[in-house]
Amino acid sequence: MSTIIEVKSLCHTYSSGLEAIRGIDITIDEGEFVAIIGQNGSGKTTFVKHLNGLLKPTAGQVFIKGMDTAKKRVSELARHVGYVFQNPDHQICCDTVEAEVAFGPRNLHFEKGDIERRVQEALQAVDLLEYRTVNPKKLSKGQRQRIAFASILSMKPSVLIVDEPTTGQDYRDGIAMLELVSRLNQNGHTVLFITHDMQLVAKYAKRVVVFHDGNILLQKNTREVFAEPETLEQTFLSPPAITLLAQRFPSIYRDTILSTAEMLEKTPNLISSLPRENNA
Amino acid sequence: MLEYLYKQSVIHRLHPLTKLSIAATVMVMAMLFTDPLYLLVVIALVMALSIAGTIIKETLGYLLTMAFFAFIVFVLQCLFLNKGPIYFTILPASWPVVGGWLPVSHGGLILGTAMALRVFAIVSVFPLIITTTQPRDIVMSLVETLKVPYDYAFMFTTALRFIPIIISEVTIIYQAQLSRAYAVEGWNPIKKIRAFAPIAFPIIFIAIEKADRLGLSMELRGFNSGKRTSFKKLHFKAVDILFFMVLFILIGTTVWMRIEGIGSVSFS
Repeated sequence: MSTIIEVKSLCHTYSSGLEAIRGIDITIDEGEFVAIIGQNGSGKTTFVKHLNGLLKPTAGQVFIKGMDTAKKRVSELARHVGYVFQNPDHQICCDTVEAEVAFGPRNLHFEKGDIERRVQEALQAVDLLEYRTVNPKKLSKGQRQRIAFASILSMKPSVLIVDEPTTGQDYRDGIAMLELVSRLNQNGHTVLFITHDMQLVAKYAKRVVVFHDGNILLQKNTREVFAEPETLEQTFLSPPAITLLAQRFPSIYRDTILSTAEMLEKTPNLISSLPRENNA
Repeated sequence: MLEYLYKQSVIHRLHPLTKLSIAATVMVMAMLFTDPLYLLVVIALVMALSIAGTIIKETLGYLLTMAFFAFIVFVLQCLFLNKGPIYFTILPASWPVVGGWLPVSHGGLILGTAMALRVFAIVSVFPLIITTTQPRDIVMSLVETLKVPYDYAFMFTTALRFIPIIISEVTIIYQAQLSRAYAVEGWNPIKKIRAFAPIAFPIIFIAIEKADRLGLSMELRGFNSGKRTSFKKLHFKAVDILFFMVLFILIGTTVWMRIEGIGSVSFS
């Protein structure tokens, strides 16, 4: 697998003097599925905004497919790195769902037939094809979020960044969003998602990057990260309840448990091992 | 962007109306004096107050950005007044046709300096008020002491409060559109205006939504449901009275000086 994102001792200090990122190194390979977690203000969003050039490093370097982001405009990087913002209302500006999704490809000057194909595919992916001529303002928040998503997908970026895709959505919509992201990951997209929901992290992410105070606290496989609840505690995060429960019984569950199904699988048949009582 | 800074100082403790009076006095003095030297004294007075208010750093930073505008004022005044000896012309006399145009005269230089300093003196007092007074207190002083109707005062502060919110929303919208390869290209003015739509539409929508929510929460908190009382009352203290006396003397002296012809300068 080849490297797609390479971050070298990145620092970012805002003009207000706030040091949001204090020298981090990350390498992400093509096709990875990475969760970015950490408290509010730990530098997660500042970090991902460097990946499509919205922010430029104040020190260090960021390379996307070998391109130095400091030397590229955001509009040039947009076709490689798609960034879905938290609130869809910050971007919806067209009269129809179709036009909204075509916004990006149009800015990239694709041919007309190509744009139509991209819109079709993107709307199909988010399951909104039937609404293509509807005004986005008339749709629900969850649907608008999917439109925002489709409007990034239509540019076919190889890296997808999703900033808290589940805020303001109910559990079912949140899961549906992550299922969609996970399908895209299987089709070869590299995915980075920011979230506060550890259950979603346990279920979907292959690798977890934990931010704390502008630094990276941990950067490991999901299972390994949740195996260190004490380290996570430093930044007021904790593994999913089921993982914590399993960790209370280290003699039974030697490996880190990530889901109820896994726990059941690893649970020895307690009933059969109980001493039999004599009912006579 | 100037905003209230929570600090302890003499200036912070002054009654908002006293501070507004300081601003008014500075403006009157800046408008009446034309001699650059006297204007410098006015600026020095404001700086002294800024030091007393422990906000000199903010004031100087603000004045640095304002220097650009002061410079434009200086250049314009220089070019449009042609009195007294001419020092040089912007377009050298050796050039054909336009040679010798845009002369810079002695009068122009003095007027330019005076006007730039006047702008400086007037704007230098804004940080003094804004960084040391909570907007809420300015409104309360207007409502309680000057009997401005509360609705209008509220409207005014809400508008002020909205500016930074809208600015931060526009920044996010701009970034969101940039992420979709949005770019303003070319020099065609009509295209440029049209290119503004992807920023304008979301911000209008968000602003209306925010106003709507604000209205609702105002109603829920009983806005306009009867006579308003306030928890924190503002009082004039001895130091306020002292300031008022000094301001009064300053204005009186300035007017007297101008009648006597002191503090003005001839431009020829």
